[in-house]
This record gives sequence, structure tokens and C-alpha cells, in this order.
Amino acid sequence: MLPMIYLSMLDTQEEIDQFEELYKKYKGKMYGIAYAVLGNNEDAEDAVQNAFINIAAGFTKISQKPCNEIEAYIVIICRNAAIDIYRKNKKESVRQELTENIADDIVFSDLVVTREMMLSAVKQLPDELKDVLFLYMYEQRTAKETAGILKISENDVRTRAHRAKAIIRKLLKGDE
Amino acid sequence: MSEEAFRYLLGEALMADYGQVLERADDSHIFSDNFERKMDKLIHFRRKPYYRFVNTIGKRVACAVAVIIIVSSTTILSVESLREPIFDFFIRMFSDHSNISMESDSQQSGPDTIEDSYEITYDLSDYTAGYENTSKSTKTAYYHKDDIVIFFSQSVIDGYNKNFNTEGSEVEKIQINGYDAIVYFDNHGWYSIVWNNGEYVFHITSNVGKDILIEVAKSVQNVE
Repeated sequence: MLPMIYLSMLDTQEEIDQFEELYKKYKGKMYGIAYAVLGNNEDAEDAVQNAFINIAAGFTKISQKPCNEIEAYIVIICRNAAIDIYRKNKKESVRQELTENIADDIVFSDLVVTREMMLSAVKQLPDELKDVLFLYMYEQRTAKETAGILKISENDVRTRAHRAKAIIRKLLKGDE
Repeated sequence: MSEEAFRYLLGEALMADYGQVLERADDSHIFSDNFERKMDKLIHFRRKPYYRFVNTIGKRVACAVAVIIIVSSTTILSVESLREPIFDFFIRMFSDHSNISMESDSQQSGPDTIEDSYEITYDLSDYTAGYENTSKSTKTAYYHKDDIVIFFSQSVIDGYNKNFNTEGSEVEKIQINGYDAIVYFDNHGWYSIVWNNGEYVFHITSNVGKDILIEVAKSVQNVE
């Protein structure tokens, strides 16, 4: 059992009600996601708790997003909360930095892409690259903000985004 | 395809993929009572008693600081093995001050009165003891050397509720002898450390500097 430092993060009764609804709806699923990473009950509950604390911290912004975007965010936060505990259990201080040349930007203007093609390409990406694409490219958060959520360096965010775009491009072009 | 159209399609595909992850996740787990209690606190803990003091901008800044503390909280050493009740810190952060209180998840509680006396065992031979006072629920001591002052208090946990001047301050979480502690640098240039050992709350404040103050805090021991 971990002792906690609590902070009053939910401002209004409306926010509390919305947060409670989200909590009841997703806590079980979030446990399932965390357990898949950690494989034990106590750590998985800690991960879900940490994920909810992170969600509560930015709840005003999150609650204004459409449902499918909230769900994406929940998966990202929960999975990364679990990965964070996994890393700490394994005493890994930082995730390994990726080093790639990101000088050349990758463009998609020459491609014709359908929904099905994009879905198929996205499914083939590793989770860590999907998370960066969602936060950094789709939601257009800053590298700093994305790094904070994923607990990686800003440089790692840029490198992963570049790598993800390169893979997506290859998949969409049919090179792989 | 334009960059905007690509971004839209990408987002749509990612959200569909995340949706499937949620859909596939097992939903059958029954959470522990401890988990439910902690989450209930998270959801319903509010700053009602001091709500009128809240300044929204200041509060947001303060929250941003405190979230960093929470996010890093999983590095906590387990104190369960010490067989002492675990008291959680509750921090209400306002625009111009913070309020700290403690609450335990268990039915156990600490002593109602100061039964064991704790003291600083760090070498303060250069300092002059200003005063020492022990009441039923709090023991305080004060030491000074020139302009350097060290204030120490030991309080019973039950009912502990203190306001601290933390406007614009740095707040972080550290460990003192295996216990969670909050250290903050207030807007008068003093460092303070607050922690509890499951029996008493300790509060130490000084302008001696952070590193030395942490060493002083670590030296606090039961002298009876």
C-alpha cells in the first residue's frame, strides 16, 4: 500500500460528478490495461490510481474533449502509468533514448490515403509510437507536454514522432 | 493529401485503435477496499473550508507544482513493514498559502498526547536553545545561532491541520528516514519539512539551507 499525497484537484461539483462518472465507467477497463503490463494486482491498482490522479490534474481540459478522444487519452495515461511502475520495479531509471537523424521532415502530401489504409497502418505501430503520434501530432501538444505525459525526454518525443511517421509512410506506400 | 487531412485521418485511426484496446480490456476486477477509499478521497476531497480565498490563476500554478509531486509519488519506500498506520498528507493549495492535514486509511491512530519525546540529535552545539515547550499535543523547540534559526515541533497526528505560507513556493516530496516528507521553500526564504512516522507529525523550519535542514530532520529521534 502506498501512502499518498492528495491535492484537491476538482474544482466544482459538476467536475466531481463528471469525474466520478468517468471513474465508474473506466476503472475496470483501466485495471485490465494496467494488469496486462504489470501482471500483479497491487501494482495494477496503483497504476490505475496514478492514472486517475493525472486525469484529475488536467480534468477541466480533458472533460471538454469528445468521448473517443477521452478514451484514447485514458488508454495512454493508464498504460504509461503502468509502464512507469514497471520501470521503477525493474529499477530502470530512464527509458532508453532513441537516436536517429530527424533532420528531414517526412511529408505525406504525395499520398492518397483512405481510412482503412490508415487504420491498418496504425495497428502495425508499437504502442509507444502510437502514443507519441496521438499526443504530439494529432493533439498537437508541445514536445514538452508530450514528454511530461509519457515520462520521456523531449528529444525522445521528436525522435519517436519521426520514426512513427517514417513507418506510417512506408506502410501507406506499401513499401513494407 | 493535405497535412490537416492526414492529421485528421491519423487521429481517427488512433482513436479507433485506442477504443478497441479499451473494449478488449478485461473489466471483471473487483477493486480492493483500500483502492476505493483512496479514490473516494481523490474525488471528494475539496477545499471548501477556505474556498473564498482561492485565486484561480494562483491555484492553477500551485496545482501544476503539486501534480509533479504526485506523479513522482510511486518511488515511495514501503513503510507497511514498520507496522505503523500510514497517514496520507492532504494538501490544500491556495493562492497565498497551503494547508496540510493527515488522515489514515486504517482504523488505527497515533497517540492522543505526546507520550514519547523526539529531539534533534544533529550537532547543534554551536546553537543556543531559545525555548522548549511541551503541551499535551505539541512539543516545540527553537535554536538559534546569529541569524540562523531552527524551529522544531512534534505534534500528535489526530487533528493536525496547519497553514503554511507557500505563495509562489517550491514544493517537493522527499524521504526522511523512510517516511514521506513534504519540503517547501516559502516566500520568506525559509525551508520547511513536514513528515509523520505514523505516531507523530514533525515540522522543522529554518533558514539554515535545504541540505543541512534535511540532515537535521533525519537526525530527529525518540530520546525516551
